[in-house]
Amino acid sequence: MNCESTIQVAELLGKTLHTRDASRHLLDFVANNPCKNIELDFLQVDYISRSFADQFHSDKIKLSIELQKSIIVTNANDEVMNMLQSVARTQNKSYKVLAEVPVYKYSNWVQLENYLLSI
Amino acid sequence: MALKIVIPERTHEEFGHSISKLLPIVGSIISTEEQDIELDFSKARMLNPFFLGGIACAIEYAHSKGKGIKLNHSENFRINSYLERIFFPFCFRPEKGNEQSFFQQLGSYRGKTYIPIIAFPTGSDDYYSTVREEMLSAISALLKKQLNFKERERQPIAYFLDELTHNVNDHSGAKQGFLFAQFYPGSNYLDLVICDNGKGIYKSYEGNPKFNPSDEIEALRFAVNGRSTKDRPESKGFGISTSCKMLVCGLRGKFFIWTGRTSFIETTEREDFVQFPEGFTFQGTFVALRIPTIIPNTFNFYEFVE
Repeated sequence: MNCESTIQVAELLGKTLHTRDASRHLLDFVANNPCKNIELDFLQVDYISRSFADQFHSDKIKLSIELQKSIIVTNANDEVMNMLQSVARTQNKSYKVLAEVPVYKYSNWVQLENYLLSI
Repeated sequence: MALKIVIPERTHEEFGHSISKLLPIVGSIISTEEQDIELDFSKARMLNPFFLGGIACAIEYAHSKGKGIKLNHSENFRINSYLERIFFPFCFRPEKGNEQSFFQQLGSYRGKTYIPIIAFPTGSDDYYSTVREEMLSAISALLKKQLNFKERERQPIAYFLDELTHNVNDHSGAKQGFLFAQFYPGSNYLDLVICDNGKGIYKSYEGNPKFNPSDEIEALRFAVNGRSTKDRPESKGFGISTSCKMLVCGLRGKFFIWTGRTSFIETTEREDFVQFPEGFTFQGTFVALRIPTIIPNTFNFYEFVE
């Protein structure tokens, strides 16, 4: 349906959003909304976690492709915006190589204890 | 016969000291064939959250296997009220239908420098994810209050809590995770431990065709490197790599993870994988973070978020 709808995120989920499930819940809500153009109003949302932002980023893309939904984020504070942008920027990260990090094997407790006491 | 464990008088401030005291005790709790376990706190005075959180997790494991647990601390007034307030060893948890009372009681720790040992539920059905969401909000707000932090200072702690509890939820297969923290105002750091009795990191990669680690060290390398056990496009892997980088490179803190007989340690001075001898096994995953509470001016939270 070619209409617009606004969802108040804080009213739906609260002011701080920590989990991937919270994002899935939000995007399920969007998917079930008959309108094609959805505004997600982040007014009064103080914090979103990296996991929430990561899930939100990928589900938002999926919804726009599969259901032709246009999702617009509005009234997000700096912290929320920064988190969304940081996650979007690093979606295709390359892994650092940890092969050079040394491995120490201990077969007796005294040596291991000495190692731990040196940390 | 019971396995009797004498708890040391104290754990010292050095990061590795409490871990060195924890290892053999957890090893004995996990491997004992005795039906009962007795923890003797009669000499104990000052114990760090890494130590107590790790023991609580191991006790929960032993208890789930039908072991009897006995604590001896009633005569030791230097520590018994603290152990009761932190809900050692059986942890503080919300009862279904009585969540409000849990959150009210948690709020009463505002004036303290510690939170109780909290058992948080895993699972992604509506009830458990809502409870976990509310718990994380409440714990983050509580620590912010205890530490007298501004929003900018709260960000990394909220990040560690989120990432590491999500690991327990998404990868461990455990029914619950454990979380415990103590702030040391005189030393300007917060010690935070998050652990579980799940399948551990090596087994969490089992059956994954994308990553097929040959041993615990390689599995831990993958996890520390940020490679997810979930072959899903939306999953960016364990939050260990970013948490570790933010803690050590950004805040100059210390990081320790122990799973099975393997650990990874990162501080500003070292970055090592360590394989422990037989008998020093953690049944799930144990993560200890020493988080400085004076945030360097140069610290930029978003430099570390991926």
